[in-house]
Amino acid sequence: MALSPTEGFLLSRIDGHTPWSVLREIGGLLPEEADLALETWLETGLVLLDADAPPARETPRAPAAPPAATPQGKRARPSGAVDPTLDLAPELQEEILAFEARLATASYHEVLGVERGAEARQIKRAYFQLSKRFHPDRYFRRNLGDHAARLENIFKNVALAYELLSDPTTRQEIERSMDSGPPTVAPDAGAYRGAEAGRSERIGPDAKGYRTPSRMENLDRLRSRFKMPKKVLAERRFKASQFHQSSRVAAHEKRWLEAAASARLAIAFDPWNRDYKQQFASIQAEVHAARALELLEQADGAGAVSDALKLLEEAIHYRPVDASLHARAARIALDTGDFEKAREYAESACELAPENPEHHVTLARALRRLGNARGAMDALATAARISPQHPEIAAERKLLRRGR
Amino acid sequence: MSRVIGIDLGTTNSCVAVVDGGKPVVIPNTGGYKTSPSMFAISQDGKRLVGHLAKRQAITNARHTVYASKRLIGRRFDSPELQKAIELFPYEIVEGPNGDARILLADKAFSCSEISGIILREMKRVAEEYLGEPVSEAVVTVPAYFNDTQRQCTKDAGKIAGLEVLRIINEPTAAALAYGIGSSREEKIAVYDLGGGTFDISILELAEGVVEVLATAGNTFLGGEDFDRRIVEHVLEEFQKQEGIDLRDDLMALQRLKDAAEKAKCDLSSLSVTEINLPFIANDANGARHLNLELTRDTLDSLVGDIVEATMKSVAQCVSDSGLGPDQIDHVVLVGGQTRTPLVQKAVTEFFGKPAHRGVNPDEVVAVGAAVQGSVLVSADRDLLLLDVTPLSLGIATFDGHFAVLIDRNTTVPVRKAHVFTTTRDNQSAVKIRVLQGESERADENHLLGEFVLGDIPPAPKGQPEIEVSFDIDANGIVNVSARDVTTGREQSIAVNTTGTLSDEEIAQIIAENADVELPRDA
Repeated sequence: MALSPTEGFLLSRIDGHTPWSVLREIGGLLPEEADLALETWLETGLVLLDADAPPARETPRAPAAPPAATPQGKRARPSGAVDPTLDLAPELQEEILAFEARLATASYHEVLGVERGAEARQIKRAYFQLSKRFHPDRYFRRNLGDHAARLENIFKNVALAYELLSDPTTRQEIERSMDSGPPTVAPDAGAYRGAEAGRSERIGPDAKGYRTPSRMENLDRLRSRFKMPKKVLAERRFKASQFHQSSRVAAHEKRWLEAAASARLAIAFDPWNRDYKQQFASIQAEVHAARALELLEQADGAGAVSDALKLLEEAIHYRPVDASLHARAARIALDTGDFEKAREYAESACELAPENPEHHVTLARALRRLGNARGAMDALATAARISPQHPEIAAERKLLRRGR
Repeated sequence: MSRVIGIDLGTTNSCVAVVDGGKPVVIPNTGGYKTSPSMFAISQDGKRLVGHLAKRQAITNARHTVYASKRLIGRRFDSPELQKAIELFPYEIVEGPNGDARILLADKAFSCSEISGIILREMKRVAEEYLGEPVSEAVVTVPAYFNDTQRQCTKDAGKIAGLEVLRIINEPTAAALAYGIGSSREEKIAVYDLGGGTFDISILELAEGVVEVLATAGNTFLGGEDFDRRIVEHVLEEFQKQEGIDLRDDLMALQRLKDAAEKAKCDLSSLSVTEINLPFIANDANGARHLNLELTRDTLDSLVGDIVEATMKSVAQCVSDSGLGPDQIDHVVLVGGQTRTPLVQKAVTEFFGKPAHRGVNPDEVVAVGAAVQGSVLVSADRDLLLLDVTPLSLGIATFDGHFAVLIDRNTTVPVRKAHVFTTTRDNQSAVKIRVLQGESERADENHLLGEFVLGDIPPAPKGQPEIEVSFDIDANGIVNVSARDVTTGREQSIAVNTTGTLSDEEIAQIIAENADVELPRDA
């Protein structure tokens, strides 16, 4: 199978961790193209879906009983087994196994066994109750076997859930992330909701013909298997918001490199958030501006003028609409004798900032050197219209006449 | 299984307690005292003396009597705190082989862990005599602000004393545990602990048998001794004004003055005026001089007003850290003898708008709490659970010299926290993870716990690789740090072993040396 470079990049990002919904956003392909590519690879067996892979965990040695009185009453398949030789009641072992098995998919609320609208007191109560049940110190010095590590893991998750839900700010953040639903719905909600509802009509613009109902259905089926668990999603959103925040702080303190890195991470964790993308773009602009300034300073100090020109051109690449950069490049090109280049930059400077007489004078100078006296006179006339008293206009006119 | 004792290893006094028949008991020594001075001395005839015996001869043997060694434990010799201590203490402090502080007594350099170990061994002996059975396990308390090195040194001291230290817990937490026995009330408690050498303030919550630390703050270099020192300075100045004699170089006079100052301070807790009387304090050409000075409570208040104010600043900080207002605190518990000072009680009452709780003895409550925690850990009947917290923030150094905190101080342990970092250069193939502990925003101002390198990061533009760094603290306080390249799954990790200032060999050697040293009985 021949892969385009962008497809190759997309393939390189498939690592067993990054979900479909992220892959389709970061690949450099249009999301629909990414979907198609991924779908094709799946069909050819190039990549495997996680759900198809054999279960990674060991199969339970003994059939475990359903969890007793779990907070949300869901059944879960424990990954270990009850060992009657341990210094821990079998019922408690079952409870531990069941609780740990649920951790992977449970939301923070589910970990604590509280409702969305729970009061702070209820959350604290749940935390204390669970602590008394699962804190490792409750079973200090007992022979716990594998359960020691499980208890610790459970308590860490309980404590984290409590920490996040007991702080009104983080709690609000988490609950808002839950509201925005799974990412498969978020980016182009109309299309997928339609598919879910099994409607047959086409939804939205479909220039490339990817979104036929059957294809939509197929994609949706694949996607639902690829979908991130709610908790993971909320966690990623939460992380993204934290990166976004630290990016803003860094940007505020003009630590651009760090700001850009954090902004990139925010996007990586939550590719559906437009704010993050905007933030990244504005930081990039600032980074380039700073780099351009730096380059200009270097250009001023550089011995070889042609080196300076190269640096300036790089700066212009970063900030293509800055007229003064173009004007400076034009003047340096004049010095190096590259009059064609000088004319080009002078013209763009005039275009970008037509009200600046200097740019027109520079253009006139370049045109004169190129032997285009008529053009030069016109440029000088424009400059004179803007600023009749500009001393360089008279000087340039003199040179023009003498050159003739 | 033998019982677990609780030891309050204080700067000036130590106390031991045990839960006996379901009730905590403070164990008196053979002399009947419930607390013993945290003092160790080598007498002129070469005998090792601990506790009251050491204190009794402290005046005549000032150079070879160690007190307040808790102020030195786990600190580097070149630290400003230690240099300050060298100025103040009459015994000789020298630099140890590991850059730590050692105390020179009769030509032998004692490490601070060894001194603490000797005091702990004394407390162990007191408990064994009372219980009539050997004791091998203890819960020992430290100020909330002790860092990992100081905590480890205290554990080493336990080892030297022949005790396995099951847990090191914070003094204010212990106080709350003592207070909250069998409690099913839901209460918020402020513990104001002004001891001999350290000050701690903690806000805790008790509910359904769970004790949760909401916030702690304090200062390891502030305490009752500062009160004494202020009085001593004041008296020295007055004496110099009256008699023209500077007593500062006279060790014997200083020690007498220190004792007198402490006594005057205690007097002023109940009286409004007292006298400091020290006959024959000095001699010069005109004969013997006597010190006779009146000290009023107002004078004392003006001498120590700023110290009390400093503690109240910590209190305000701590209450705000806990997310509560002063009026939301249900009880204020005072710990440490220094809290008997009326000015302290007044300041605390004013701040919280209510008088302090009077049900617990401020000198014994910490040891009682330690005993309760010890008993809760090992007994089958566990209706109390202490949710302990990390004393200081943990994190890593960032490339620009900042300290990125992963686990905030006051986070409940055990805990696992992860954060994603990235590279700062294009095609960067390795990142160095430097694990730090402290509260400064600047990396180099924090304590370096360890470092490691995560390598083989596939070439990528800067900012692209995701390096997940996770911190893990288990129930025993052991810190594990790992870094994982999210793309490759490659992982590196270290267990951060905080070490005290002694190596294992040194500890073994000290234990062997002390095995046959029989200490005289305290009477």
